[in-house]
Order: sequence, then C-alpha cells, then structure tokens
Amino acid sequence: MAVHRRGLMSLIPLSLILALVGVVACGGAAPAPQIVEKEVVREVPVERVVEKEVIREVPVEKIVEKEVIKEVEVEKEVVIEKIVVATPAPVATGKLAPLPAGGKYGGELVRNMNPGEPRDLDFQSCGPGSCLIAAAPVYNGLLRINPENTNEIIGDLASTWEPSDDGLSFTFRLRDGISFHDGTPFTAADVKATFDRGLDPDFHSTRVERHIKKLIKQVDLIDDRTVKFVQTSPGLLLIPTLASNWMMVVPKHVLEEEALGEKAVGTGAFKFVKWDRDVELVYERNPDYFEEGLPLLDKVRILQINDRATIIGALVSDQMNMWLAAPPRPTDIEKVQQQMGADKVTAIPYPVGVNQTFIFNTKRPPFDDIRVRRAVFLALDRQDYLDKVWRGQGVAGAVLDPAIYGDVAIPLEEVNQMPGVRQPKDEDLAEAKRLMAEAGFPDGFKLEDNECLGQNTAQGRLYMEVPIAQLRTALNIDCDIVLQDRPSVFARVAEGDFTLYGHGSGVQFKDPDSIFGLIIAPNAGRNWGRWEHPEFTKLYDEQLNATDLEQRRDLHLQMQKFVYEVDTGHVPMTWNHAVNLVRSEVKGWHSLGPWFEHNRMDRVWIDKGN
Amino acid sequence: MYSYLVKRGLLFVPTALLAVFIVFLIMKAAPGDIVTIMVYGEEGGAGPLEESKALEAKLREEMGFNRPLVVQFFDWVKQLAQGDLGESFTQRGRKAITVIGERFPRTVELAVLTIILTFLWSIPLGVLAATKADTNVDRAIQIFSVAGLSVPNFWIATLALIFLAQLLGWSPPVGWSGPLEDPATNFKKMLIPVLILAYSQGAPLLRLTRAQMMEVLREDYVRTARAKGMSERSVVYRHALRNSVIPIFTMLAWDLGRLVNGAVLIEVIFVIPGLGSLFVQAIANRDFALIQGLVLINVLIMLGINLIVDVVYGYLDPRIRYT
Repeated sequence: MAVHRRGLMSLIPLSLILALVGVVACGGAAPAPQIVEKEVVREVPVERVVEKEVIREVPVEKIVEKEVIKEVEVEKEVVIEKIVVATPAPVATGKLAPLPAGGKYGGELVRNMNPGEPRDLDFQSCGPGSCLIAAAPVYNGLLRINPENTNEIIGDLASTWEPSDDGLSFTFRLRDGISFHDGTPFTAADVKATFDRGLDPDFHSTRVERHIKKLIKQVDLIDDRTVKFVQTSPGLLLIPTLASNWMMVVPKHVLEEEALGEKAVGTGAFKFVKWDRDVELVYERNPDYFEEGLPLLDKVRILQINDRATIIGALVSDQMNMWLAAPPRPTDIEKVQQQMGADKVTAIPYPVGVNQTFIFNTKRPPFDDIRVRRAVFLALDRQDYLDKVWRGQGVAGAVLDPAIYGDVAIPLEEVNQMPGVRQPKDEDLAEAKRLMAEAGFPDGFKLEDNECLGQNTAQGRLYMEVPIAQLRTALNIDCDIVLQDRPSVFARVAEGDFTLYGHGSGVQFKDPDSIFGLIIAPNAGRNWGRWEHPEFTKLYDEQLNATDLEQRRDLHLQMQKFVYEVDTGHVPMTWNHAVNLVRSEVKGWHSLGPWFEHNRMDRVWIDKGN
Repeated sequence: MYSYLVKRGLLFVPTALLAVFIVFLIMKAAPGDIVTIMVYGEEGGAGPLEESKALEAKLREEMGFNRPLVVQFFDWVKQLAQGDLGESFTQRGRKAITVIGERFPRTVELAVLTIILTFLWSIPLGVLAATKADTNVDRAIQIFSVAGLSVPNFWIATLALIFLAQLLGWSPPVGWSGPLEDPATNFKKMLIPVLILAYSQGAPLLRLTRAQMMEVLREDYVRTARAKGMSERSVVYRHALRNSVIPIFTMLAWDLGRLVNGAVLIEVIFVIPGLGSLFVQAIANRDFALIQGLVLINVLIMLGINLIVDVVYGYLDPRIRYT
C-alpha cells in the first residue's frame, strides 16, 4: 500500500511538469505583437468551433509569432466583437480578472501624495501628477490598463470598441447600469461632454493640447450607449491614450455647472469625501461601483507629506500603509526595514516613468553640427550617470524602458550593444574624438557663461554636473553650469535660451508616443533643442498614422535605432527605477508599472490579521 | 500717545505697499511665471511646441501678465482697497485672502504656544545662569543654550522624528485637527514642533537674559538694595529683572512676529498647513497673488508688533514718553 501511495506521489511532479509545459505551450510564451479578432456568434445550446492558425516568421535572431484565433460560440444572441490590443497580451479577455477568493476585505488605506499639491480637482486642466493621484480613485475612463497584465488594455466604462475600416474612427459601446456618485446615470452624453470640453478652442491645458486636440477631431453621439471618436488622422494611438488615467470621464452636469475644480463626482471605486488642503484627501468606498465586489477597501486617505523623515515616522508608527509617490531612497528603505523588520514591510520595485535626457540646442553652434552632437552622444557614459545620479537603480541608455513599454522597446541586451551605450567605451570614445577633430574641435571647447543650464534641485544639478564632468574628461568640452529655479528654467528653454540642458521628463501613458511625442518629435512640446531630421520625422509620422500594430511596432523599433545610429537632440541617459514601500497588511497590491498606474486602489485591501 | 499711535498707524500703509512693490518687482524681474510652469513644466505635459507658444501667450493675456508692471501693481492695489488680494494660481479658483485666512490660525497657534514655552524656560534659566555665574550650573545652562543656537531646528526635527519612530514607534499625527475640533490630537501634533521651536528660539533669549542680568546685577542700585537688606529673590526679580526686561521683551516680540510669518521648515516637516509652507509653495510656483498677500500680511504683522513693543516700553520703563 505504501509503495502504491509512493507511486501515486511520484506522479504529482510529473503532472506538474506536464501542466507547466501545457501552460507554456498555450499561453505562457513571451508576448508578441498581435491583433485579436473575435467574432462571437451566440445561440443555445453552446457549441464551439475554434480555428487556430499559427504563423511563425523567423528573422535574424528573433521569433515573431502571429496568432489569428477565430472562435465561434453558438448561443442565444448574436454579437460581433473586435478587440484591438494596443500592446499584446497572451490572453485578451477585455475584463478584469476575478477577485482573489477568501480575502478578508475592507480597511483604511493611507498613502502619500506627490510633493506638489493639486491646483484643484479638475484633472483635465490641472497639470501636476498630484492632480492625477487625487482624481484616479474617483473616476473611470473608457479603457484601462489591465491590473493583472499591464501589457493589456481592457474596457473600463466601455464594453467593446471597434475601429472603422479606414482606421480613422473608433466606436465604443458603453456598459449598462452605471451611475455617477450623485446618482445620475452615466450615458454616452457624458463621454461626449468630457471630450468636447477638451476640443473647445477656448479651453486650454497641456493635457488637452497633447492628448485630446492632437488626436481627436470630434466625438459623435450614436445613441445613449454608443459613442464614436473621429481621429484627426488614422492611427492606433487613441487606444493607449484613452487607457491613460488622464482620460477619465466626468459627468456632463458637473461640467455644465463649471464645478469640476471643486467637485469630484465620478463613477469610480471611491467617493470623494474631503480635501483638507496641504494635509490630506479622503475617499470612501462606493457601494454601487459597477465592478462586482469592488472596491475592497472601505476608505482611502492620501496624505500630503513631503518630508522623508515624516513619511518614515508615519510608516513606522502605523499611520501610513504605503510609500508610493516621491520614492524612498535606499537609506530610507534601510531605516524603515530595520525599524519594522523586513517581514513587515516590502520594497516593491517599479519603473518610475521618468526619462533623463541630455539636451543639445541644435540651433546654436557648435551643436548645430551633427558631428559634434554625435561625438557627445558617443562619449557620454550612461552607466556611470546611472550609478551617480540614481545609485544604479534603473536602465542606462534606453530610448524606451522595456519595463514600461514591453516589447515595443528594444531589449536591454540589444541596447547595451548600441553605440554610445556599449561598454567598454574605447571604440565610442575614439570615434567621438575623430568626429570632434573633423568638426574642427580637436582640443575640445569651452562654452560661454550661461550656456549650460540646470535646475537648482538636487537631481537637476546632477543631471548636468555628471555629463559635463564626463565630457570634460573625454572630449575636453567644458562649461560653467547655471542653476536656476523651475519657472526660470522653463522660460529659458522654451525660448531656446540655452546650449546644453539636462532634464527628466515624466511620461503619462504606456505608448511610445508618450516619450517620442513629448521630447523627440519635430514639434514635440519638450523638443527644446529644436532638433529635427527628415528621416526621423517620416518615421514618426508613419507610426502616428499606422493602423497595423505590427507595422507600428516595427516603426517604433526603427525610431529607437535611429537615435542610436544616426542622430538625436536628446541623449537618452537613464530611466530610473525605484521602489514602493508597502506594509504587510496591504493585500492585493502589486506594481502596475509606472507611478501613474498606481492610483486607483480598487483591488487593494487591508488585512491586519486581527 | 494717541496722536503717536495714529501717526505710526498711518505709516503702516505706505511701508507695507512699498515692501510689496519691491517684492513684486523682484518676482517679475526673474524669468518665468506660473504660465511657463503650466505650459512646459508639468509631468508629461507640453503640447506641440508651436501650440504651446500660442497657449502661453493666451494664458498670459488671460491672467493679465501682459500689462505694464505698474498697471499690474496698481490694479492689485485697487483690488486690495476692496479687501481682495486677488486669485491664487496654485489653488485655482480660490481667493488669496481665503487661502491665507485658512492657514493663519494654524500658524498663530504654533507661534503663540512656542512663545509661551520659550518665555517659560529661557528667561528663568537665563536668570539662574546669571545669578550662578561661573558655577557648574551656569556652565551646564550655557552648553545647553549654545547647542540650541548652533544646531538648526530642522535638523533637530528630522532627528527627533527618526528617533521617536525608531525608539518608540511613535510619530506625531500626520493629519490636521484644530485645537477646538480635537484637542488631544492637536496636542500630539503640536507637542514636538513647539518643543523644538521653543528650544531654538529660547536659546538666544536665554543668553540675552543672562547677559542683561549680569550687567544689571553689577549696578549700584542693586548693591544698594542688597545693602538695605532686601531678600535676594526680591533683588533679582523686582529690581534686576525689571530693568533687564526691555531688550528681552523686544526679542521675544520679534520672535513672535517671525513665527507668525511662518516657521517654514518646521511646518513642512511636521505637516502643519500654515503660512510657512504656503509661502514655499507660492514662491516655487510664482503665485504672485499669494506672495503679495503673504508679504503684505508679514509686513503688517511686523509693523504691528513693533508698535506694540514701543507702547509696552512706556509701561515697562516710565521714563519713556511718546508724543
């Protein structure tokens, strides 16, 4: 009998291995770019026909796997669904995954806010990241990033969405039975009113200019539950943009009252309770939230604490559960873990979503000469910069951080072989010196006073001091750095009144356009160095108008390679990574990528184990 | 006395306006303003460059920044005459006077509690040090006071927070509750910042008290009082301290003025939403309405405190007369 049981026991690992092989074969493979078209015909009784066609293309060293799955279910009703996946996922369900079973849900979660206080609650016109943190628990968008699979976009207020044949418009079907916190039913008119406000020529904000006016031509009301977005040109950028937390839907009546700045009335998981300026924002559970069983918390408090010692004190003394924004330094983490015990607080790494770049003014000599730009590009040591500025925490030299952009970004192994990034730097330095000599600067040069600009913050200073020190050693390029406060710096760079400048730009959504369209593209708002290259512009415009995901991804890869191999006005130095400190009573929380995805809190709960 | 008060009161207005005008010119002379932050400086922000330029121009026009500086200032003075300090940019849609009014009582509470505690510890210790000059008691008090003078209060605050958290697992409450709303929480919130501020404010006051007292204790009339057989307690407190009190009182009043204008770092560290932290935000964002409002209030407070000090001199020293 014992022998027999042992025999059965020996089958368990075998079964596990087989199951694992099955999982890998069916869906565990690395995500590849894909368009999933789902035609669903439902009648009763259920029958299912599944056709699966797998096409594999093997280029030089990579496998691009395309899957076309046609799935037919026969049920009572007949509907047709198409799910366009902006960044591919193994399984595109289009819905939130079920809740973990058996949790002791509830509790009050207390977290911290970004250093800058929100100007008001109108996230459409309020710029600082703190505005988003304040608004995210209250509102929903049409789409959202799947918290269980951050490479997938799923429906939020929208149940389905479909592109037109010409790729110029998307039609969204909205979920039924959703109400705003004040009891007003949510309809397509609210969606139209939200985006019409952004399209109003007299309404201005950076959010609107960049995310709404640039992409959307008009929003048409089809019926009470259907709305059509007509784009300014065909393309796929609208989908990841609408999945951004900045694109949340507000009630039409609140907009008409012009009360969005003071009232936060959404459809979201939490109702806004109060805002004690410079102290805290308080939210309570929305019992009528349309996602079944959510949210899991009873209450959320977001504290406006800026001082690190105060945050540590609050975390250790059980006044705060999570340190999310303004990330802790390694020494902070050590202090908290020493005090609380490593088992009571967990450091969860995440990509911050801020790209540090070294910027040339390409309209000023000598950086109007591509050879000088290229020499500097090759000479800069990104790894040294990462070590000195971010204590080695992050990614050196990537144009796009793979931890944020997934397989649209060049993999790090490849990035590390790219010109300018590769180590050791001997080859790049020799080429940089040759280019400098060819450009007429064999002995380097010193820039005039006031040409090298930096922000007078701890990080702003390092963004300039580290690269200038590298250039001084490598190419004998020198300058005296002028440090000024934010408003002065922005006034100067907007006017092109600088020659070299180091800056960190935060991205707001997970599409490559969040960085290309922000700093590199010819008319990008932060293309302060006025860099332009016809070939890059062509690639940029093509990707904007691409209606095929695979083609768009290919263009994004080409754009990244262009930066490494040809020219750029922004030298990508680093994408810094940080950690969130999370106390052990916080359950259900995991990193969703960059900070702007961390703010809904709808699937988190507190369990103190009492 | 009344004509003196009226004359001093009338001087308040031009003095305050001149101070605000100087600050206004300095702020305007620096490049950039809230519009540059809104258009170029926000996370992930900035629309296409050309549109950003247009937006910048439009916002600047809407906010009235295109008008000549003198016109901007006198428009603000006109508003001020109607009791309006203008609209805050960083707290959009809110009047600067409302924002300042919300913060003011919190800072006043911090300042008044600090001054009371400062008075209670520093003056008696200063007197004790003077009467026990060159003894071990004096030396111990001097070490204590020199430490308070030398160590920045924000550093003591940071250390206090870390040690309290590490040793006791305690830190002051992070939220805010007013003294009438929730006295117990308010007490816990204010305890450590008031102790730290009182220590750093009291140290120079202690040294001043000691120096003044030592000087007065050597005066002939003190010797005479002792010769007349008065008790040492009476000599020290009724004769010596009374004659030392004018500079001590002046310093205490100035401390109160400075504290009411905001203990910037302590407010930030202990999350006390008062005028100090508001000033920091306003300057960082070039919120002219708030800055001008805060400068105006600061100047008025300091002028008011100066006037009170001058009036009190007359009571403390009957030889002082104002005409």
